[in-house]
Amino acid sequence: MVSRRIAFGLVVGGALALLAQSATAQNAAPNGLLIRAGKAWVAPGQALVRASLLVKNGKIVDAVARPTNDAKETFLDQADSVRDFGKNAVLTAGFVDVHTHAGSDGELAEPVESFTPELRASRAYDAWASAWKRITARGVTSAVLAPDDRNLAGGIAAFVDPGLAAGSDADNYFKMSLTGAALNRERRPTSLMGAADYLRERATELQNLAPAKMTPAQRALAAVIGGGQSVGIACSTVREIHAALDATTTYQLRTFLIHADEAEECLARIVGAKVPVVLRPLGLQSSRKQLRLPGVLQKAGVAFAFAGENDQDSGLPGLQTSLAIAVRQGITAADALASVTTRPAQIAGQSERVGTLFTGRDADILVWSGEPWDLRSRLLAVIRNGTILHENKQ
Amino acid sequence: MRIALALLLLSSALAAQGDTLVLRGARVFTGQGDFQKGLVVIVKDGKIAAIGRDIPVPQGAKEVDCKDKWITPGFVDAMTALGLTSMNENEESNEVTPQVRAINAIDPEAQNFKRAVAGGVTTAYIMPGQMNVFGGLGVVYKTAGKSRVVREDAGVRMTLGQMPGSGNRSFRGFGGSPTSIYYRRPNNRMGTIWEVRRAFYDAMDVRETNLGPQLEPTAAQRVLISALDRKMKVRTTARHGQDIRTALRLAEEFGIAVILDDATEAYKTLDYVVAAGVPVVAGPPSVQAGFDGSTPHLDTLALLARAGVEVAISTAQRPDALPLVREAGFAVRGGMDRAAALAAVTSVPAKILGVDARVGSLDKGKDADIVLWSRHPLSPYSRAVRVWVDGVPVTKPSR
Repeated sequence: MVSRRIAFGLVVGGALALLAQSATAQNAAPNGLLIRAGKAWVAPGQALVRASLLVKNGKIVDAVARPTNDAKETFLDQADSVRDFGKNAVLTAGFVDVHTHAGSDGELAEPVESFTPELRASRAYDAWASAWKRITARGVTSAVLAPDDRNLAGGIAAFVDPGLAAGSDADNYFKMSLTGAALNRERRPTSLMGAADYLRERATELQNLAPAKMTPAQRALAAVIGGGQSVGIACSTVREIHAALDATTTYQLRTFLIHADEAEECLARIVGAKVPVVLRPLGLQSSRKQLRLPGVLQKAGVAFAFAGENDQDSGLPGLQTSLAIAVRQGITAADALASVTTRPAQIAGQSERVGTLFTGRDADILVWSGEPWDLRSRLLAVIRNGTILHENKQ
Repeated sequence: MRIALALLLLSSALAAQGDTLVLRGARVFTGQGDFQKGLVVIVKDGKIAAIGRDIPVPQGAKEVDCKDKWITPGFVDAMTALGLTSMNENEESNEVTPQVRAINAIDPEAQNFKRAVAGGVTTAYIMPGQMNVFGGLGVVYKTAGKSRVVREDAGVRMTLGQMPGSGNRSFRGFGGSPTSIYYRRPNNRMGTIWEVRRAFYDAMDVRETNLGPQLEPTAAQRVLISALDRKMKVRTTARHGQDIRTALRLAEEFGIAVILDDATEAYKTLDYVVAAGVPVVAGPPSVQAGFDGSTPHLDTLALLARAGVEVAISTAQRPDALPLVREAGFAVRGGMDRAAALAAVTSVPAKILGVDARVGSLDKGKDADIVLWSRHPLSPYSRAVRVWVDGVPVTKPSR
């Protein structure tokens, strides 16, 4: 990441780009940062006690528990700075928000036409938006900026490091919506039946059409039919969930559901379809039904993740709230932690980079004053790609 | 391992035995004629295995005591919006949407399915709303059970009268903006007919010119072409007398197979309906305010039935309709024969929908969709005590 960033800075050389980089360049550890804490959750349910993590070039180079004196020596040789957060500190991987519209100011839909699969959220991504600072301060080190729910086929979501310019590989899942927000009374479709019909019409157009003759919109749609690029389908009610799963079967899509508020009422169908679900964040205003849903899904074996959605500034620390409330509702800590780290990373197809603290992963590390699912715990530091983005006094 | 296998075989064998039911002691209405005493119904594997007097009962079958009770086939409601958001659910971005499918918007867990089951309705025809000239394709759907779809694309809805035009606007001064998708035809009854004829003529053009892949019919035109070829029934909503006559005239003009829906004022045009020989899916006779300003009469159903018209009683998607069994009671109040009224909610709608090989009557080999009533179902005091769909009880047993 760092080398790419430097290359990016050199090649583009734009004044703005340089401005964005300069803040991070000051803190960048050129040759090894050793992080020590009482415990590290390298993956959900997998703890290292008295952990030492060695970070180099934005990646995790090594992570060990109770290092021997020899290991300590080796580590110190490689690190030119050491941060010891004390025996109470707990490390987790940075949170991954797999469905957010933050910092986009309502820009993430072209609602005059509901079928815009070629639009790319990365083009609406404003790395300098103040929202990203707030969001990273709450522990989100990777985010997928998604087209919002107002279009049947909204476009292609962008996987970004919040606050950094989008990479050339930012394009992520294909976003669709079958919610009421996509049914506009002034253009097609006005109804769920019409949405299915519109999709069928566009899919039919692709038959017997050579790839060279396709428009960008047709290419984007062709990339998902038959199970290529994954598809996130926003749906809320039972009929919308059924419609999403019907489309999944008809076009052999690699689907995950977004919201799925009434998933409990059609659980068997979701279990049968083996699709993951990205839930709305849990908060103090969540209904009983919303609070119950993660437990219901866990029991049925449906993989779920929490998303930050609009990340309204409610004064609560974002995904940590969902994590804590999920644990309070009886979800195991490991499962709850997975729902904000490994699972969203999997859904975004980025497990090799983020979501865990294994060797070779991006050094996206959260330093907590206690267990992250305890709302009393504070973030002591947020580290992304080996750079300390935010730090709070102990 | 071997023991486990043996246990597995045993348990599955027991389950199969458990599937066999014997309904004995009730008066049975098979779908035609009157209630008969002494008939025994045997259910196996979700189907009716046998029905008759003094028939052999398989060993280990489960007896259901039906003494002093009444059995009918599960009712068939041939015009509903069950599982849809409302009776006006349409894709309103276009007037002509014959290709839009109701099945894409059905909520299988909707409360109104549960109410329908509790009222003895086990099969329903669900179709899009009345706000479009061509609303789309309907589906024959069970109200409960594991396998719900009976027949996809069983008919295409065409609506005459004022309803399709009611959401549209004309001039700016009348609330219309030229940029709105609702600034369009039709705005009245005549315009609706114009839209119907234009759509059919366009489809005929495409069918007859057949210019190759450049001029392939659209999905909408494919549906209309299959209607022109009489492969697809056209469910024509016609309430006023003149709309009914229009429907029959269009049927003749385009050679389409029409089923008259609602047909509120059929009493005014009885001769024409009889002469055309088209089936009628009538609206609920209890409802005293006709849709679209039409005038209902309580005796319409009796008149149609007596004149030999194939007539089914339906709730016609109306939220103010009573449960179907009560509507059948109102038809009797209006002079319809009891047996005809019961046939009009079972075997006749099944035949009109083209699903009579599976539902609507109690014959060997048909789906075991059965309702056990506490009294003669047309009695206002009757209640569905138990309902089976595909041989599986779908309501909680009650007294």
